[in-house]
Amino acid sequence: MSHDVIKIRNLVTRFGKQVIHDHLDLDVRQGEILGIVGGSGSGKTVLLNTIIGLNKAASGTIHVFGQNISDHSSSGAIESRWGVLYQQGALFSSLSVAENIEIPMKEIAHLPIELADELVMLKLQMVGLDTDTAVKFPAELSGGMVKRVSLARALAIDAELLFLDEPTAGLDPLAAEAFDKLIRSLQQNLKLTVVIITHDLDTINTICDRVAVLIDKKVVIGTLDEIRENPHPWIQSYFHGVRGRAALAGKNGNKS
Amino acid sequence: MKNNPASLAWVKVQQEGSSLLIIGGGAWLATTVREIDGPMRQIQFKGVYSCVLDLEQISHIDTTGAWLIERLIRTLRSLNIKYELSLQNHNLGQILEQLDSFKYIKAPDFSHGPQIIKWIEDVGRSSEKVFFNSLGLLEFLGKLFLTLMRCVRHPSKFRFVAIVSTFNLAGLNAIPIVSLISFLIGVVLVYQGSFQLRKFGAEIYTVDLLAISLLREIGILLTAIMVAGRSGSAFAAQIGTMKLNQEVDALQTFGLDPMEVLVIPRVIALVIALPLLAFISDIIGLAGGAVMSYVTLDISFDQYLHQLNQSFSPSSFWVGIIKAPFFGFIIAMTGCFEGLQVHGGALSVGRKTTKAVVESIFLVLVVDAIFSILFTKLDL
Repeated sequence: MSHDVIKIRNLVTRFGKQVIHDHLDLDVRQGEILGIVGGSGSGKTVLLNTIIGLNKAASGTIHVFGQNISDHSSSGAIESRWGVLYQQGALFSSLSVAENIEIPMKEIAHLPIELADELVMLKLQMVGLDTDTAVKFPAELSGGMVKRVSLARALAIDAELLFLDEPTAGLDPLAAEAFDKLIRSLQQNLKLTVVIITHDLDTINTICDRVAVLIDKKVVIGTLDEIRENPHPWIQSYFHGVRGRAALAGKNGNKS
Repeated sequence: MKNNPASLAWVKVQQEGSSLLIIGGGAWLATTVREIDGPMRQIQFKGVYSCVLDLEQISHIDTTGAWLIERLIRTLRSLNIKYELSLQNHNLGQILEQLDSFKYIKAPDFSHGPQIIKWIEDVGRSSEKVFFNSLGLLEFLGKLFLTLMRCVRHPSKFRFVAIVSTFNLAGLNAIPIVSLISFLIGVVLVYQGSFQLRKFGAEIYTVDLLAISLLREIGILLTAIMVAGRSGSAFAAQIGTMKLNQEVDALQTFGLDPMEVLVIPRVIALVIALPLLAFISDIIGLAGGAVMSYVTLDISFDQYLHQLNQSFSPSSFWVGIIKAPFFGFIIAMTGCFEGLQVHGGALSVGRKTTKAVVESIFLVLVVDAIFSILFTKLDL
């Protein structure tokens, strides 16, 4: 048995005639942080949605925790083991922050309400939010706060596989850095597997173990150094552009 | 492996004199600890001076499990009980260290005093809301008139394309459903009317009953209610969602007046569409009545027309139709007003859409009552 948490083989997805992924293969190893990058519209979010079963693949197989997603009936067996942070936060607008975070605790883990309340206070502090936030409603939160609450919800029952769709987009650089650190420390302490879709080159440089580049409807995967050596013009301009070099310089600067 | 925990969490408490031994084991994960939360809360510390936490048999742990331990440690500290921790799982140490920095804060209490006071408070708050909402609607009406006047002075400000497209959606597309309902109402009125009037041998006046009630009141009211449900709600939901998406803000930053771009075209489209729909409703309702008269009363089509001609006066037709533009105005205005009131999230869109429909139907009926008093005084 290999240690691949996610195993994708020959995945084809299309909308109408437009092919998004063409015989794409991807493995995510247990305990790693994998960054998925790609140009706008290259199908990063579609790939995520296909993995978590929101979108149906035209052909190919996806195994998560060794279970085939396409014949998986949503019994909650897999759902209790992953957490998802959506691009827009996707908090339930009719529920308070505390109720949002308590959803997985109540619906999946069936924790007693007292314990769930305590854990909410804990999770809010973990993602760096004031505990007063608990009684607020999503409409009263700023964009960055929505992201954090959403992360707290994704982390609510310490799912071992975490999908983050652009977690640092829209955050100020300091908040983004704190976010990266938080994800790193959680991943190390809890041995999580994390899949991050991101445009943030700092995130890729500082916390990702491997990088998967979505390009020409397929995936090029490797460590950051390997990817940087790849001669593909898009990859070259992505990682060796002004921002790419600046982010790398920042990383090396931190090391020395 | 952390996956597929073989065993549920368990905890044992043994007291020997003044020392307490707490042994925990199994998988302490969010999905497995629900049974031990209660027992761990109920541990008694009376007469206890030292405590040993033996956690070596814990096979898996996450933050939820670690929190149970951290909570216990905090209780021990607050009671000044000496404790000893023996762990094997080295992750636990790190997680505990991390948890240690967090404050323990009791979840806020949501209850506010006794029920009766809350009830009185609710009554007050809703009355306040109704009052300010009415004021807001009145203010909106004023603004709407001002904008209309401005548009009349500069007719190029009327958005012709928007008016036509709304007219198409709210007017033309409503014809089938309005016709169907009017036809059925014509049928029902004749059926019920003939049944009642037969007792007096006055079945022939069923046609009069139908003509007067349908033309004066029912045709236009039914149409207005249909349109309020169809288009008033659509206006509120559309504009509300635009507001949430900041589309309304974007309009303003372009120097465009949302009133001019969003509200005026909808109002004008409904003011034009509603009389036409009411007219169609009248005709189809009379047709439904004709069919039913033929079936139940054996009144031929010629006879029906003759009787209609006798009972029909143009004034009853105009009394009905003249109200239509006003109703159209009310429906479009409340729909747009509630749409612009949306703020927050999806919940608010639903709430305001409901309000738009309820308020517009209410206002339509109020105005209808005013009209009917007015027409009586005028002897129409």
